[in-house]
Amino acid sequence: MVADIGTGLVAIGASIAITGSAIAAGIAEKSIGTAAVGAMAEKDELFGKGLILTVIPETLVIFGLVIAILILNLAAA
Amino acid sequence: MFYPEAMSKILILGHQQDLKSVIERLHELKIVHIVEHSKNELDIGTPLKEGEAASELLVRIRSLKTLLKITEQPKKLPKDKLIFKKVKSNVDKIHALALKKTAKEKELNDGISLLERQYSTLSELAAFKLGLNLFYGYQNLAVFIGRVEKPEVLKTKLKNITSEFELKIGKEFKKNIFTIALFIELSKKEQAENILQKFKFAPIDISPVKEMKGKPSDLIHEIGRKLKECCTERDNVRNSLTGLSGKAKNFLVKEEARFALIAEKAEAPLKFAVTSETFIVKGWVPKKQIEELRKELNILAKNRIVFEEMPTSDNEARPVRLKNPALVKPFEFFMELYSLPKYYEIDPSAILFITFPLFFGIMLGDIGYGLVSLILFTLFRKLFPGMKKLLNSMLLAALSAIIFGFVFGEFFGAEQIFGYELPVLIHRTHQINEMLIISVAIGIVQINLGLILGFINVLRHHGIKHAIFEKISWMVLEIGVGLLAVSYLKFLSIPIIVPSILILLAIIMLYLGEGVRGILELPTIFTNMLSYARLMALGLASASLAVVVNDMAGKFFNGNVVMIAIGVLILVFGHTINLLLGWLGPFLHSMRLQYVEFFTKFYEGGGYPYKPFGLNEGG
Repeated sequence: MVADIGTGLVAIGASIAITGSAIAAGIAEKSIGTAAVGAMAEKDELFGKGLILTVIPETLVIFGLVIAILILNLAAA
Repeated sequence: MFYPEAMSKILILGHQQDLKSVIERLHELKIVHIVEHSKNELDIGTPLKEGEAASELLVRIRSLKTLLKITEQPKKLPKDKLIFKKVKSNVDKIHALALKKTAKEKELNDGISLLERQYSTLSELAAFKLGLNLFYGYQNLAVFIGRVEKPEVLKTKLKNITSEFELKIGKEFKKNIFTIALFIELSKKEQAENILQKFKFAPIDISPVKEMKGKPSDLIHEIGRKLKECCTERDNVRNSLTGLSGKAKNFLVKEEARFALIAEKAEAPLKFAVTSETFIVKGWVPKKQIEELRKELNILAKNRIVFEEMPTSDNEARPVRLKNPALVKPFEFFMELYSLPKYYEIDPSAILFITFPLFFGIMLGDIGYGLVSLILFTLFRKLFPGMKKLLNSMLLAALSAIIFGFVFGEFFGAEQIFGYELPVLIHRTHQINEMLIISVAIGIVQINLGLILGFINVLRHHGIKHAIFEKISWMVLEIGVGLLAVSYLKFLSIPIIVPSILILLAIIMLYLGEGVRGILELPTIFTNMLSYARLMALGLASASLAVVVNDMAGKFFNGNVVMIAIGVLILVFGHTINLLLGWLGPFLHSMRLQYVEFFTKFYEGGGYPYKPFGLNEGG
């Protein structure tokens, strides 16, 4: 398979969208997760709430993925 | 199904003479959630008479259990009749025996640790071949006993300060570290200390052997023999303690259950209000069981007991018992994990019954993985009875994964079952755009369902005006933005003024309904919808991983037996990992979509559970 440089750039663009959002989500979840585990150590019932708060930034990656797909679609068009 | 069990507030008023029998009956019925009386004009009751002795015995049984290291918790109530004196004397007997034996064990332990210290000191001193009395008690000599590095060099250093010393070198403790005994004239003590420090002098404590007389090499045998004797004796004591614990276990656990029950009943009056002659119990009872309770109390003490249903205000917090058909019951787990609904709130368990397996299925969506999950979850259900509720809901989720496996036409990532091509409704790995649209569409449906539920909740509680401003406003916003998007993409030509007015209207309604906060949260509804794209994303990741595993293993299947074995290993290992990920990811994300995207549209939570008197965790 021979790919021209344009295809490569599109692929890099899509991967940046995912990488950036994944790193951002990771950073956000790190601090929330720490706090949530701390709170759970004090009060067991907070597991549900802690879990939800922890996974909230995960949406960022999904947005990254959607953008990546849009980039790939635009390139294909 | 959509609301928690209806509760009525009741009041029972009776004469003190009936107190005991009323407590007994309420405990048997297990339907009254007692509201604790807090002391006002009326005092709280005192525990029943027999309660004191029972509580005391219960405390002793529990401490005895700790002493004998019995960790088993009581499960069943004993059936046989209670003979208090017999139980008490039995507990006394075991207690005395256990105390005697543990005291003996402690004494032996102390002895053993002293003997061990003596033994190790003596074995170090033995190398010097000197009598014990020579190591201490000098008037003009300082004695250092300990370990140093390079004692030969030390000797030459010491010679520089005085010739009046004797350095005995004992055995080599570790490489280049020796035990030494240094006898040096008292006036040079400090100088010697300084030098010793440079050789990393670590003193040996000889205090454990100060009382002894004779040569260390002779004493050490005696000590060794004693040590052995003590250890055997300690082992014997320990064994007999284990034996005692084994013999007493059933008795203690059984009686703990019995006395915990008696103590619980005896302490019930602490929750009641009393006067000198009467008692009052307030509590909550499921509405449908009110007549049953009234009948029971009438049988118990006709005409002596007042039983009344009390008027309640709408806002009064009531205990919550979820009421759902057996199929939906497992999904109450997710409510308990999050927070029980308030009494007047819609209980969304029945909706989770549909959406949780649906989302899980779309994300896992593989016939093979679904079947394996189904088998494993059935197995886990036998192994961990405590997690039954969760596993029952996971069983349904696994079933849904199988169904979606047929929709996507996937069997362990392959698009065939042993050569038979699977019919495919939609291709997860190729038709990404279609999957994306379907996912977001599901999101739009669920979020609007949430808004409708929210509308009903607010309508019931705050009236129509609030309901429209707080919930319908979001829908107006959705329509406005939707029209804007449609006209922007040129599917329809709508004058721009229509969506603009709708959006403006929505913003005003939101401001009236939820204040500035509502306006700040304007974009969240769209991020929430996009969030459902994870249905597509996780499915894509799971399916792609399975395909990668298959491709990696596939290369090996053309070779000889060893290659094929490696291929099989890769298949098993890869699919196990992917299945574990396929449980964790879809489970968490399916749950998250409910909690974060769906619940925030209508759910408040914070209800407290209905715990009827008599239904204790332990019993």
